[in-house]
Order: sequence, then C-alpha cells, then structure tokens
Amino acid sequence: MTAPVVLDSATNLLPAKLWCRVFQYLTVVQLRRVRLTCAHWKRLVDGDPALMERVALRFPNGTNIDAKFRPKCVPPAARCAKFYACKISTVEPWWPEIGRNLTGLSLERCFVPISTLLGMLRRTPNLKRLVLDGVKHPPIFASAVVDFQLEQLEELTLLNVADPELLNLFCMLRSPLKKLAFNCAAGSSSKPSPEPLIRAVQDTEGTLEELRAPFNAPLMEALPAMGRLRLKRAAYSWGRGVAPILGFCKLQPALEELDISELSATDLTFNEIATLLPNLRRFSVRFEWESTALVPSFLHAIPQLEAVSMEGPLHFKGTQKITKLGTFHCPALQEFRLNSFTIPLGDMCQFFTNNPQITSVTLDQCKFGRWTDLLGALKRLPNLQRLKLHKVWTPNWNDPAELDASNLKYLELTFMDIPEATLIKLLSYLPKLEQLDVQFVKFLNDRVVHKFCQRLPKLSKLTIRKCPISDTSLHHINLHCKSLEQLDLCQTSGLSQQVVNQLKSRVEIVRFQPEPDLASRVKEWTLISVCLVLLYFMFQWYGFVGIAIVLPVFFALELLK
Amino acid sequence: MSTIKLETSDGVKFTVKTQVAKCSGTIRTMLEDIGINPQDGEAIPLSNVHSTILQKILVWAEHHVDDPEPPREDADAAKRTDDICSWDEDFLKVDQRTLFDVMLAANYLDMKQLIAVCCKTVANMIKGKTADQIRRTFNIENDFPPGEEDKIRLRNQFCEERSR
Repeated sequence: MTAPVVLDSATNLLPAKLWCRVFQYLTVVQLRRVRLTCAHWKRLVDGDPALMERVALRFPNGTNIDAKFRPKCVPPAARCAKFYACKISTVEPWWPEIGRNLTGLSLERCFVPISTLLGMLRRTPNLKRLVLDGVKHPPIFASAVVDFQLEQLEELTLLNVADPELLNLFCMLRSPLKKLAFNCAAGSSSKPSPEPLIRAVQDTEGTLEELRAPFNAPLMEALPAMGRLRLKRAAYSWGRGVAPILGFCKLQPALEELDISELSATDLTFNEIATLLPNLRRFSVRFEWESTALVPSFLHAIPQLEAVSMEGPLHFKGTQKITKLGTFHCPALQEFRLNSFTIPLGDMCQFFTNNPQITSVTLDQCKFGRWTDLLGALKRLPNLQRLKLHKVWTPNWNDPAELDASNLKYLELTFMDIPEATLIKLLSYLPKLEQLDVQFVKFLNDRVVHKFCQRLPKLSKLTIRKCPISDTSLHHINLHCKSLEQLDLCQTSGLSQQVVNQLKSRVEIVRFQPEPDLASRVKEWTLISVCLVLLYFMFQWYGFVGIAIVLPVFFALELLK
Repeated sequence: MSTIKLETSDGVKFTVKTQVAKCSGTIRTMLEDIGINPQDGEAIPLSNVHSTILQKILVWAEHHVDDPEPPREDADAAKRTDDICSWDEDFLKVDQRTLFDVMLAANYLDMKQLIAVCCKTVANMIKGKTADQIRRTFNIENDFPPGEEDKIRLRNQFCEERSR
C-alpha cells in the first residue's frame, strides 16, 4: 500500500498533548533523536516533566570537575544526575541550575571533599534518591557543618563507605527516609562503630521501610525498643547463628522482602521464617552443606512467593545436590535464581512445567547433566523474558540446540565455555531479544557475531566484553543490527578506534575503552621491577640517602610520561 | 437493544448501539451526567468528527466493546509498544493523515484505549530511525539554525535512561 503524499508537516497535525503521549512510548535514546528532529519537538520533550523524569544526566567517566569545568551546554531539566569516577573539587557556579531540578543523584567511585559534597546537596532541595558508592574523601572533621535539611530525601544508599562517620552527617539532614542501605568498604576500619547506624535507624523509625545494612549485636539489642519501626524490605547480614534472625522476623512481621543470603541456614529455619512472615513475597537464602541431597520444602510454605533466590553452601563449588524441585508449585513465582547447585535435570524440567508463569531465570555456577536438557527445561517457560547464565557447567556441550524462547528480551552469558557451534545455535531464534550481554565467553568470535547479528531483529543494547572478536565483528554489527542503540565494548582488545568511530555515526551510545594489550603491560611491569631492584640496591649501598636520590628521579620520569 | 443517533460535522447521521457509543467517554458523560435523552430521536452532534473517521472509529468500538479494563502501566519506564493486537495492527494500516485524524477524533471522543493503540503505532514509526529518517517519515523541516544540531548532539551525550 502506498501512502499519499503528506503535504503538512506531521508536527502540526497533532496537538502537543498527543505528541507527548506518543513520546511516552520511546526510550531515552529514541528521545535524543526526537530532540534532534526539529525545534518544536525539542521543546515538547524538554518541557514534559514525565519524560524528563526518566532522563539521567551522566557526566563522562573520569572527568576532572574543578573551577574551570563547565558542562558543555547545560543539559535539559533532567531529574537525575550520575557521576562515575570523577574528581570533584568544586561545582560552582553551574550546579545550582541543575541541582534544583534533581530528584536523584548518584556518585560512584568519585573523589569529593565533604565540604563540596555538602555544597552540592545544599542546592538539591527536591532530592529523593541519593547514592554514594565507594566515594573517597579527606577525613571528616567534627567541624563539618550541616545547616540545611533535605526534607524530600526518601532513599539513601551509602555503600563501600570509607568512614562510618559519613552516616552521622546524613543523620543531621533530618530526612524522612524510607530506604537506607549502608555498608563499609572492605579494609576500612576493622570494626566500624555501630552508633551511627543505630542512630540513623532510630531517627527514621517512623518512615523507614527498607533496611540493608550489616546487622550487629548493638543494633539487634536496640531494635526491640523501636516500637514504630515497620520494615517491609530488609537485607540481613550477620552470621551469628539462626536465633537472631528468627528474633528479627518476630519483631518485623510486616516484611515482604527478606535477603538472608549472607547467613547459612537449613530448610527448617526457612520454614520457620515463612510462618513468622505471612506477607513474604521475595526471599533470598543460602543453604548449609548437607551430605544428603537437599529439599527446599520451604517453597511449599510460602504460596504467595514472587521471587526466590537459593544459594548452595559456600566453598563447595556447586557440588551440593538439590532434589525434588519438580514437586513444588509456586503459583505467584515470577523470578527464580539458583546459585551453586548440582541439579538433576528431570527436576528442573518438572519444576518449570509446574510453574510456567516464571518470567526471569538466573542460574549461577550450577551444574547440569546435558546442555540440551537445560534448554529443554527452559522451553517449558513460555513467558520467559530474562535469562542469566553465569558459569553454568555441563560435561556435555557438543549438542547444539536452539533456545526456543520467543518472548525473551534479555539474555546474559558470563564465564560460559560454550563451544562455537552450540553458541551459534543458542542465539539463532530469539525474535524479541532487545538486550544481549556477553562477557568472558571464550568462543564468542567473529563467526558467532556474524550469525547472531542477522538473527536478532530487535536487538537494541549489546555488550561484549573480554571476548575474542575483531573489527570484522563491528562491520557485521554495523551492517545488520538495524535497531541497535547502545553498544558496550569496554575491556575488549583487538578493536581499532577508527572502526569504532564509524559505528558511532549510527549507534547512539558507544562505550569503548581498549584493554591495554599484552606487550605494553609487559613493558610497564618490567619498568616497575627494574625500578624496585634499583631502589633496593641504592638502599643497600647508601641507606636512606640512596632512596632520597632515586625517588625524585622516578617522579620526574613519571611526570615526563 | 437501545440505539442512539450521532451526527458528524458533515451532517451524516449514524444509528449506533448505546453500548458501543459508550466506548467514548465524551458520549457516556453526555448520556449519564448531562442527561441527554436519546429516545427523543434527536442526534447527538459531534462537530469535530468527520463521517469517514467516525465510521472507522465505530468499527473499532464494535470490535472492542467487551474489552476488560487494561492494567495500569508503570509510568517510570518507556511503555511497551509491541503488544498491539493483530486486529488493531491491520485496522491502523492506513495513511498517516487518516491515522492522525483517528487520533484526534479519539481524543475528542475520549477513547483511552484507541488513543493508546494509535500512540503506540506512531511510536513504532519513530523507533529505530535516525533524526533524518524521522524527518522524512513525518515530512518535518529541519528548522535548527546551522550548528545548533551539533550542539544538541553534544548535549544529548549527557542524557541516558535512568536506571532503577
């Protein structure tokens, strides 16, 4: 059918309200293209709060944000900003304009002085979600002043914190937190004092719904006194036997989500928890080693369960057997994850047949009899949308079979030693796949890429890391992946910058940081070892004076480089 | 089975089952709240809708009259566009002008389901295209001053999907 020539520009044929409703169905990457189309549409996108709510401002990795830095053009009124591995010394004078619109802010692996951080937060009165992960800063002095409040802040995530005192600062913001996630960096002070955490929970007793933090004896003692605390979601990590966790569940009967995978326990304990928590919908557990095969009978006790994650015992490399899975029927189950188990395949198949409503499956370090049997089991899930396979192992790969999952949207393969022919067959029929993530798959080569490029019509996001591909793969991707919007090739060697740049003209977001090749790494290490040997001998011969002579020379060389 | 009469902008009168006409929020309000009595034999005037478009919309309403209320969608993420049923897909295989006219009429008649399925169809026409291809599809003129486009492209690099 041929459409007649449209004389008017379509932008005028519909009112702004209807165009904005159309744009609601587009991803941010597509919205970026809409903004480029014409001035009218750009105004519509920038002016629509519902659309802007979904946009995140991302500052380029490793940016040095100092007095000279200006964001190239102040980006539109986004509601969320992300900094990754940035060194932030000052954000004046451009920050207030961005800050006042923000509802979400995230700093990951950044270096930022506390005074600058507080200066940033002072300008974000509407902030609802704050994430600080692995943030480094000079020591906090007691003099750090917090003379403002964040009255909207609901979600606070402080991970890999260098100094627990940081939590004290946030207590002073008097935010009505609903979610608090907190942990300290490995290798920081060996025993973080529990007071800041207890105080933070006490201060937000009336509003807090989610708590993910290292529990400890003082916190457990303080909990019974917090009569107004009604948690809905919790990640409990304290490996001191099962009595405390049962006590915690008795105190918090409203829990809907519970993660106790840091703690090893038996099926008996999980059954007990199930009777204490009538609203439990999402449950993550780890089993103790059992010499006989293990039966997860707690699944029977929680018919309303929507998501379950079961881990086998630590340090047994997936040799723990789990059986009778096939006898369980969980009518509400959507997400299913298994980690470190050996699974008799008849069981897996029967379990999936009993629970065809499952939409998401993660198999982590699991062992199976035959590859085809695993794919056969997955075939029983007509609604499967997300599948993650990580270090899944079977003694029998050489039996290529299709993964017949017509609704699959997301597939992740990491550390999988699937042979080439099996891999090609696996990726040959996935008509709805939008996102493919392959990392450390040693047989994913140009031939495999060539094949799957032609067979995944809806692929919009592709990640290939640490796989033996070359520029040929990029040519195939450029030629065949018509709907590709994001391509991540970080840590992949053997690609040339020039070909990557060609791709950039067609694929909206391309991330590429070439892995330094072997030769340059060998050179670097040789240089370092020569320096160390030299240092050693100078010390032997001249004592500290020798070091004093050599060190400035090293620094001068480093500067020259 | 009760029927009512509708009159379009070009003066054509349609006799429609009341139940079908009530797919339109606008007509439902007229009948239920304002209390227009259809038994009088007087036609309800729809001054913004042309007869060719109303005819099309009535076909759609007839087919979807017994549909259940749709579930609410998450406003945070981009909504799905791949769930258009094949009947609707065929129904909306029309030229762009007609599609937009159906959308406008559906908007005027307050038919949420029809608007949604039209919006999805238009969104699918945008998906996977570059700015230039979008312009060609919708006959849009690039009205940015020279250089401006590159600036926006630079700015765009800062924007990405918010992850939850």
